[in-house]
Amino acid sequence: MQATDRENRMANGEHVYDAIVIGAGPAGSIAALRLAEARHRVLLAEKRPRIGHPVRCAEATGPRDEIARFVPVDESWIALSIEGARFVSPRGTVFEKATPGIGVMLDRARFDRGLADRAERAGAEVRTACQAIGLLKRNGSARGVRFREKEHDWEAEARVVIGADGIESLVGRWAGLESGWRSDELFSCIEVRLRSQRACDRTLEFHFGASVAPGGYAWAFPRGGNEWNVGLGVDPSRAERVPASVFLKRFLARFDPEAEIAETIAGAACRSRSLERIVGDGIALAGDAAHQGNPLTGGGIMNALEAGDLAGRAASEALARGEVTREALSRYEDEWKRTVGTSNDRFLALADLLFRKYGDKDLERIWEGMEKFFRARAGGGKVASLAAALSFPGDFVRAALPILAGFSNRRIFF
Amino acid sequence: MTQRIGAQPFLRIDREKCLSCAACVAVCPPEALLLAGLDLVFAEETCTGCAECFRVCPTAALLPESGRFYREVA
Repeated sequence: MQATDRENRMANGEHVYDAIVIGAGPAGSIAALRLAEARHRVLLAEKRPRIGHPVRCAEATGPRDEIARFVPVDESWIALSIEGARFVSPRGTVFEKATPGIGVMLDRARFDRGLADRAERAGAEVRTACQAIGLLKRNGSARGVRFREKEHDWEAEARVVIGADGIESLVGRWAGLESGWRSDELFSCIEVRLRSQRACDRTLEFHFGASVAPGGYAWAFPRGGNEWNVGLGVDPSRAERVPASVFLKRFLARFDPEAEIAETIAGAACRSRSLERIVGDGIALAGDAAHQGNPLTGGGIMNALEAGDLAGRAASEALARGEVTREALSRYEDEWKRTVGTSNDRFLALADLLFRKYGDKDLERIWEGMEKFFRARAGGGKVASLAAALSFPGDFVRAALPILAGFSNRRIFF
Repeated sequence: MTQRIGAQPFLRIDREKCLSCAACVAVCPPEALLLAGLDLVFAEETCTGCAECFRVCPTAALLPESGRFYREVA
């Protein structure tokens, strides 16, 4: 009976949906795509006037075929294939590792627009400049969203709401999912799109050290041609009131003083566990809103795709069964914890050592050990016994081994 | 005679420096900073004056008004 009433109101042009997805980033668009593919009526709402703009991202992510697990890849989304990684210690010691096929540099603006287009073509309604300003509830369960478009406020009804509204997420707070950040979980990041004459060698470069980026790291990622994304993230509690932009100016002077800055962007990177609760009655969170980024690198695109996919599928199935309670959606939460949630805990343990516990001297020791480690491993030795024989600090070995062991298995870092 | 009964936080957003990155939005405990489209919006009455936003702003675009974060209110 109720379904008939809903259908009538849909036919009358009322804003009645099966699902509303807030935020058209990678997590939201994939969730909307999965829901639309399952023939549910979906609204994908983005507060910004243009999807994918401005980009708040260093654009490195996992390999093409990993992205293709979620959506057929359009070649225009890929700026460059990445073939290696280079790590520079505080004193300037370089450790380099060839990692063919480890990932790609995306064109995030095209990627985000492309994903939202796919959702739209599958049948989702996509609205931009459409800001969610409140969650409508009935008996504690989400039942819709209040929106603001220009000065006009309106309401839309849905049986399930997915909050993919990024680090600044409000949906989680409205739903009582404790999605806010502790202040020690957020890092200030700033980045420039650079035109530099430095040779583009398809290698991601990472610089560490208290004077480069206290509590974080600096990156230089080639985009192909003479374009680079160069940026850094700092832990504000260690930066002594010096804003990230000042550290970046210093770093640029060292990276390429002649380079031309085409654009400056900024954002926060997060370092935390995944939220304990990412679903509730009629609600699910995905991506940065659910604290699902990689706590070691600050990368989040692959994880966002994974989360959007899981959340979209779980919501589709719940809708098909006609039950969108927390229990019905918990498949997503369980699956996340079992897979990426667990590996993120490992990344976090390593991040706490590298960025919090260790000083520059400890990092130098690790750089020495790293070179030996990979040389010995290439020689065919057993990973665990080799590591024990090296000069790494014990806690580093315990934290890093599970991750290093996966390095050549193309473990997803971004 | 005006009696001072308290102090209200006051924040200046340097629009030239602000990149709409939402770092402050994410960290603001009472949600006094919001991003509406590309505009950073500050709800003065909700602000508790915790100063977390100054800390995380990558470009130092958030500033206490004339060096003071609290404005006296009568």
